[in-house]
Amino acid sequence: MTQFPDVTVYDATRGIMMSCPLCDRATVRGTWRPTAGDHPALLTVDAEDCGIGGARRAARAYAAVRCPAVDAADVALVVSELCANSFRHATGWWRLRLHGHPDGLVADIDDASEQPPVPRLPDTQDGTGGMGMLLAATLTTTLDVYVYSGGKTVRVTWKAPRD
Amino acid sequence: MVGEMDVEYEPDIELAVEAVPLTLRLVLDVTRLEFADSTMLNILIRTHRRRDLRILGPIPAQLRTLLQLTGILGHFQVCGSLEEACAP
Repeated sequence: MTQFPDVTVYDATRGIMMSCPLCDRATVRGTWRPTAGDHPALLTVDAEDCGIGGARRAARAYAAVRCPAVDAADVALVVSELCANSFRHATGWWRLRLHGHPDGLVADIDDASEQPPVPRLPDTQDGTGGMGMLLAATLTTTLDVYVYSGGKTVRVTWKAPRD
Repeated sequence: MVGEMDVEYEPDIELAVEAVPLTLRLVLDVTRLEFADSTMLNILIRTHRRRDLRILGPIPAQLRTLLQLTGILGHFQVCGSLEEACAP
């Protein structure tokens, strides 16, 4: 745990890059658009409705039911870390959107800050932070940041190992 | 500490830690901690830097995994019993 992960920041002003990497579902301004014949099983948790603990427990339950191949404890930790980042470094508002497949999960954490995460080394000597982003990148398959007018979305995905 | 710990409870924990005089040893009972994230790790590191801190275990599996993953488990003195934690 000594390096900051490679976090790619995308300009998402047009919103085109917001489609799910696992299927053809896309989001328009933060709302998942159902595809034809699809009954979306989605989870949305907003900071105005409940705390980070509620989002974490909901994400853990959702992951366990929707995608048992992914470690639900990892999902809970990553959601907690990313919501904590939005809580601490953005305006305090966040929104979690989870979208699941039997072979993978996509979690979007939105906040109201247009500033992408600042790269820094995890501080394990003085405890000033930096570990959350690295944990999130370590425990997921991909981590990307999309910046648009009025906010940003941190998108993490988990892909179940093929056996 | 009992229950789940995240950034929203950070001020509560810091307040509880501040309430103990600096001259006294702080024994932190983590046996009933159900969830912790990096916020908790940072509190542990900062407290350990400033004062005499011992952790009363056994450490729950989730926290142990987190401490091992971040490589800071060895920073702390973990005790198996209250007698051990209070020994000089």
